[in-house]
Amino acid sequence: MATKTFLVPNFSAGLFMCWDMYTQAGYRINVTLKDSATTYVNASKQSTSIMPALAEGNSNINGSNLQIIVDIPQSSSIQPSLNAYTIARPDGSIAGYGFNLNIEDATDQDYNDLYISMTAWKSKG
Amino acid sequence: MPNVSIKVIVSNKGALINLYGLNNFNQVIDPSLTTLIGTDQGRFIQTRIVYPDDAATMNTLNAPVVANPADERQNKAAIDGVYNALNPDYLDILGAIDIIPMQSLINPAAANDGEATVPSDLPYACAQAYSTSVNDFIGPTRVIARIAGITGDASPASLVASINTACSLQARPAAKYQNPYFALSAAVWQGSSRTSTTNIFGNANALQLSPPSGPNWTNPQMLSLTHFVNCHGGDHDPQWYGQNGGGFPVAESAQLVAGKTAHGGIAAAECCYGGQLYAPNGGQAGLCNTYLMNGAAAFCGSTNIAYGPANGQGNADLITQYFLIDLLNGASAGRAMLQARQKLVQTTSPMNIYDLKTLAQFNVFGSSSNTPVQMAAHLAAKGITGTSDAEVAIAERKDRRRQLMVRGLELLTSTGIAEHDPNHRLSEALRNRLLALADEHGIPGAGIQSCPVVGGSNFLLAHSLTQASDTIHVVHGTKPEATFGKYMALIVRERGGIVISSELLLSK
Repeated sequence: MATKTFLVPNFSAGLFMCWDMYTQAGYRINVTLKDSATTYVNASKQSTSIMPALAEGNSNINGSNLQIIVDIPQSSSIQPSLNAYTIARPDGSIAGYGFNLNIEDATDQDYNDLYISMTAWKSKG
Repeated sequence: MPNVSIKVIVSNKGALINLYGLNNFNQVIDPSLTTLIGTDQGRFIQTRIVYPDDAATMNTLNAPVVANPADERQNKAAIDGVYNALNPDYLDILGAIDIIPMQSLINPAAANDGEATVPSDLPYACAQAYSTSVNDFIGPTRVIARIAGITGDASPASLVASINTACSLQARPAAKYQNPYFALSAAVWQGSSRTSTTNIFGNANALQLSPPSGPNWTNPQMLSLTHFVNCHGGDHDPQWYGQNGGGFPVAESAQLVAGKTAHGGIAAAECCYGGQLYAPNGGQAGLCNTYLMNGAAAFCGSTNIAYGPANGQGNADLITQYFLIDLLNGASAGRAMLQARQKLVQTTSPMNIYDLKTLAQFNVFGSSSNTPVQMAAHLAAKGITGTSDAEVAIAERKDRRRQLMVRGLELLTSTGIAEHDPNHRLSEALRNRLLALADEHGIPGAGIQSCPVVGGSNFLLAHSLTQASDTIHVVHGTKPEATFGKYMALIVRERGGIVISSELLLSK
C-alpha cells in the first residue's frame, strides 16, 4: 500500500486554477486535491484506458497549502517525476504557475500510470 | 558512471517539528520536499533527505548522530559524515540557524569591531574537521547552500517559499539577468560600486546612488532579475542605508521590497548583516529573508560587520561580484558561492585578517542546485551520437566538481595567511611610521596588530625561495560617534622594515 502527498508550489489562495487528471493503470488510483479550506477533487479509477479522465475541473483557490494526495493501495512504491514552473510576463512579473505530475506505480517505468496537469492564474477569463 | 547527479538535503527533523509543529511538518514541509524530489528527478538530479538526528539513517551512512541540534561540533561532524558517505554534487542545509546552526568561527578582526565570532556556513563547504579558526577553512571544495526559513518563526511559509522556488525555477537566458539590472550604492562608495557593476554587467549605466535615490523604487527596478547592493546595514535591521557625508538615508527597506522582487531573481549585498538570519520576533524580517520569500533563487550576504576598501576593490566588493558573475555564467547557486570563495582566497593571498573575516561571513541562501541562468551550450551541441544531452551535462558537472575539488586542495598548500602574533616585536621606528600613517588616514585611537605571513607548504616554499617575506600590520581604530562605518583598518605590508603598501578598509 503506497500513499504520497505533494505540495503544489505557489498555488496560493486567490488564484484561479484548473486541473486535468488521467490514469492508465492496472491498479486502482485514488487522488485527492485539497487545501486548508476545500477539497476540490476526491476521485478514484482502475482502468488501463486513458479515457474517461479521472478528473477535470476548475476553481478559485480558497485556502493555503494546496496538495495532491495519491493513494494506490495495491502499489508498493509511488515514483514521481514532476515539473513546476512559473508563467512570467515580459517585465518579469508573474501571471501564474504551472504543475505537471507523472507517476509510476509499478515496475515498467513508463511513468504514465497517473498524469496530472494544473495551472493557476492571477486573472480569470 | 551514474546517469544522475546526487543532491542531499540535510535538516534536523526534531528541530523542524519543534519549531513548526508535527502537523505542519507532515502536512506542509514533508509534502513540499516530496514535490522537490520529484521535480529534481526531472532535472536528472537524485535528491535525498537526510536527518542527522535520525540514528537509523546515520548508522547506515556510518555518520555520527546529532543529539543536540544546537551543537555546532555535532552538526559539522554529521554533515561531514553524510557528505563522505554520499559524495553529493549538491548539498542543501534546510532551515535557518535554529534548525542547523551556522558554525561560530573566531573573528580574526575582533580586536577592532568587537564581534567575537563570525556565524558561517563555510566550514560545511570544507572537508576539514570541526574548528573555530577560519584559517582551517581556506580550501573549500563542496557545493553547498542553505534553504533558509525565518529564524524562530513558527509558520513554515518562509521555508516552504524557498523550497517552492527550488521546485519551480527554470533557467532563463543570461541577457534577461543582465539587462535591466538593479544596482544600488551608498553615494560615498560610488567609485568602487561603478567598478563592481561594470565587472558584473559590462556597464554602470543603471547604478543608483543613495542619497539621493530610494527607498521607493519603481516596479520595473524591483523586478530586475539581478540586484547588487553596496550600502550600509545594521544588526537586526530590515533596512539598508546610503551615505553622503554624515547622513545615512534609508536606501532599501524590507517592508517596501516585500512582494516586489522577481521570482527567480538573484541578489548579492555587500552590506553589514546583509545575510543575517535574525529572528524578527513578530517584527519585520530582514531583507535577505524578504528576497527569499519573494522567490529569489540565490542571495549572497554577510552575517555580520563587513568591510571594503575606501578606494578600489577588496573584501566584500570581490566576493559579491565573483558570486554574481559566476551565476550569470550559468553556475548553480552553490557552485557560484564555492567559486567565489575560492577566487577570494586565491586573489587575496597572503590573506589578512579582514580577508579571512570576509571569507567566513558571506554565505549563500537558496537551494544549491538553483540555476537561474542558462549555461552556454554544452558538448551535446557537438553531436555525439548515442549520448544524450543529459548524460553530457551530468558528465560535465562531474568534471567541474573534480576541478573545484582540485582547486580547493591546492589552496590549502598554496595560500598565505597573515596570522596575528601578539608577541611580534615592532621596532620603534616602524611603530612610529605606522602611527603616522594612521594619523594621515584619520584613524582615531589606533591599535596595531602585527601578523607575520605563514601558509601552506607550497606557499612557504615560494616564500623562502623568493625571499618575499612579509609582515602585515593592521592599524585599526573606531569612530564611536558614527552611526555606520565606524570601524577603520589600515592594512600595511612591510618587508624588511620597509612599508611597501597600505590600504584603508572601512566597515559597511
